[in-house]
Amino acid sequence: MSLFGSIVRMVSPGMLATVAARLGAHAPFDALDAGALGALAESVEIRYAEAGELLFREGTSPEGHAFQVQKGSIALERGFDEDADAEPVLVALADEGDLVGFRAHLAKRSYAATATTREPSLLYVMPVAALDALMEGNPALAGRLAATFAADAPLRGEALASAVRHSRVSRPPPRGSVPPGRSSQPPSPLPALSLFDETRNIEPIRDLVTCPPEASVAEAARAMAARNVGSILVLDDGRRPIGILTDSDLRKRVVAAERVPATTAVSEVMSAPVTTAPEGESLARVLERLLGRRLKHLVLTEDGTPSTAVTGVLSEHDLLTAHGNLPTVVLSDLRRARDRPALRRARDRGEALLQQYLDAEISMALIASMATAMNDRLIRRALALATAADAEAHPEPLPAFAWLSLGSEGRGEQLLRTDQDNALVYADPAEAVDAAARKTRFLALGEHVVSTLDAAGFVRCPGNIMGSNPELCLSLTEWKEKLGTLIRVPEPMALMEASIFFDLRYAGGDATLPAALRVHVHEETREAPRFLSFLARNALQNPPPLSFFRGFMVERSGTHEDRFDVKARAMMPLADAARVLAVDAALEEVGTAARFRALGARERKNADLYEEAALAYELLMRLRARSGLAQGDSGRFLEIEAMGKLQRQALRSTFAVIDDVLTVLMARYRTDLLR
Amino acid sequence: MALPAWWSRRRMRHAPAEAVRAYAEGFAPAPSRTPWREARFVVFDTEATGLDIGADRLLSIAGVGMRGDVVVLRDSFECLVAGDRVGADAAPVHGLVPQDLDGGADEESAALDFLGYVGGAILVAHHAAFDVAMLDRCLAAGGGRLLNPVLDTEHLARRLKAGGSPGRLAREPRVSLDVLAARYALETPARHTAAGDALLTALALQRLLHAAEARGLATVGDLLRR
Repeated sequence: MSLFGSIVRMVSPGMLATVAARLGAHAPFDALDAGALGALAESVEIRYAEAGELLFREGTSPEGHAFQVQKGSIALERGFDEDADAEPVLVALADEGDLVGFRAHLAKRSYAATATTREPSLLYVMPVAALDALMEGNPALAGRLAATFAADAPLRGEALASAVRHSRVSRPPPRGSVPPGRSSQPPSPLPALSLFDETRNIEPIRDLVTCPPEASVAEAARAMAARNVGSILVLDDGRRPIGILTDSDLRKRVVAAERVPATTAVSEVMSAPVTTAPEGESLARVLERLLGRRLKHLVLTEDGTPSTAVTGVLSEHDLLTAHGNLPTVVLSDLRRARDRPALRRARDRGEALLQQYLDAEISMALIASMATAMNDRLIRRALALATAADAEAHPEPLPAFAWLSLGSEGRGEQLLRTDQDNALVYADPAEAVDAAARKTRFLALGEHVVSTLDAAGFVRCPGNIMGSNPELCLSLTEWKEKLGTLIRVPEPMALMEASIFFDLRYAGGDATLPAALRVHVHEETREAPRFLSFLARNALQNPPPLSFFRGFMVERSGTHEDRFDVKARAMMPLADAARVLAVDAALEEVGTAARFRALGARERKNADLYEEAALAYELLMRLRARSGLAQGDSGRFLEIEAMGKLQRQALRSTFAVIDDVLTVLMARYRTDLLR
Repeated sequence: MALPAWWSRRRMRHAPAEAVRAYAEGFAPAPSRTPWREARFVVFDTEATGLDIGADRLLSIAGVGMRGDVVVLRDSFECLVAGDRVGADAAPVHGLVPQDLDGGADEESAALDFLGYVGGAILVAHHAAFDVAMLDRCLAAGGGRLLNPVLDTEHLARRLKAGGSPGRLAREPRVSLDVLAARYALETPARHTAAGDALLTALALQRLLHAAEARGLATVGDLLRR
């Protein structure tokens, strides 16, 4: 500043430009505009530290500034004490571009680790107040900032949620790397974010066609015809929704039932209860609800429950015609496919669609529920083809059975087509003498389904985990015995194989059979607590690595690897942990994220951790699916060097969450006692 | 380089004698026993039309403050000499009156602003003698000159390398800023602008100060001894 009353502010624009460019070369500051970057640059102090210089100490209060590593690296260690013999535990390494020391300030906690330079380092030191000021006016930056300071200390809570959101704002995988023969159609560019903006609110139908419950079916049908709509909402005196009457209800429950007179009250034939939702949900959330529960309509009420008045209706049909009807086209093609080639074509289109949705950064929950809806519909169609073939061969009706999806497909997490994991359960024969004939009949049915799925692109399981395998095509009682033995006499090796049976989901047929099986599993596990310990120990086989450093993965042992097995080292520990906890709590949920969320609702103490675990799992699913589409494989191995810094940071942020989840398992199931 | 909006605002003219007096009266350099970690350095660079102090004219000055070995961006300074930058044709656009464009007057104004910014700091430059002479020439008309202690990074680099032996110091080859940048793997954006070179010199000084500290040079006096 000039002493002579000059009004010109004397900060060097040239130096600010240089520093701003260096600051902005790394996330999160790469997202700042020139003005904000210049203002931040002005607050920077440049420090050069030799190797081994202490920056801040674990347990002390935040000192009001954060460090961006320009060159060199910083080690963050717990239990650091120069005088003690005890080795400190390295919790993170921060390298070029990482922001260190800000999290403690944000969390208003003392430093979680001691920071020392690992090598001579050039550091940009910023007052946290300048970062606060930037975040205030820029929520997007706040999210990116959250993703960046993962190196500082484990990224948790809202910060992790932001990281997950922001990991989606990343480069699409390179095109052209998909080998020929895969995903046969080049995906047409989806005008995704304009046409299919998951965050956009959808305008519901406000001009509703309604009737009271005592109205006659004839009156209701006339009202529907007059307004040319496919459904009528049934409301009570307080305009609260008590049911819905659709064209399909009229066909099935009135016309086809023959003896139902047209004077029958609507309340007797309507579908009830209706599924309600609050106003203002995003398209993604609404589609997720509709696809997940196979609903056609969502009734909006004042508070989102059926006990308040109706405010509008969202129909799947309107939504999907307004927002791109591709998912419905694929689903209805799957439903109508007459043969295996038609199923294959429809599922190929579905995969191209999923790829576009992944590229368009649609929410993982929606993508997974779309993939699952497609796979389920395909399986149902395969079952219909199989039962039709069965009916030709057998005059007597087919006994009740259910098709079960296992493993990742069972958890509803299979985004890309991988090999099959399924099984068949059928109702117990009344007479023991019928057992062999029944088994033979269902094995033939299972083989028919499996070969349909194979033709549709789901290759046969090399481990023969399929409904065509005599070991896995069993009556309900045989299944109960099989799982009961696994639970009562757990063997580590058998358990690794067996864990997929605890991720079973009803995919078609008679839903009461898998429900009975689930009840049985719960009863058995209550009798055999040791089983849960074994299952928990299984989850602890492959803990995540410590961190990433530059292009490498750093193991706790200090060794380096340049690629990362995201399935074995991050997804499986989480899926395994969710399974143990879910089996223990007798949850119905099968999906890993859904399991964690359901657990969070029951266990308030760990609710935050479980939400983080759910977010982390969704992040990992996305990374893996992207990698799979880019590399034309299962996506299991991530090339660390090829990942963006932000992706690497987001991935790294899941490790601490996984560690904490595993710690919960260790404490709860006393896995240490099994060693 | 694009200048920010405030830059085009008309710069106020100073009464040179008054400005020089204020600088001289307020001049309070750190005592030589002060640890250099507690001292304020101003690392600066000037650009001129040539190397002849008498005939060539000042084009720009930039400096950045350091608190010990920490570079403080907020404590920085940059001034382009308007007369040479915009030329006579551009004068009406910038609202500069003709006497402002008279090279001498603007050089002096820039140098006076720099005096006010520097205060009692230790001045640091690479081949500092040239920059100091250039500024002194600009200040002379108003009866001023730089009073600050001056540290030359070129000399300091040679001195540290010679390890205290006067004979070796004399034999050490001259060290250019590029050589220092290469030695310390410093990036060199905006090289040969006053701002770029001043910032680069500051980053080199950080390394030299650490080397000096390793040799037991702890005070301002230790650094300034030749």
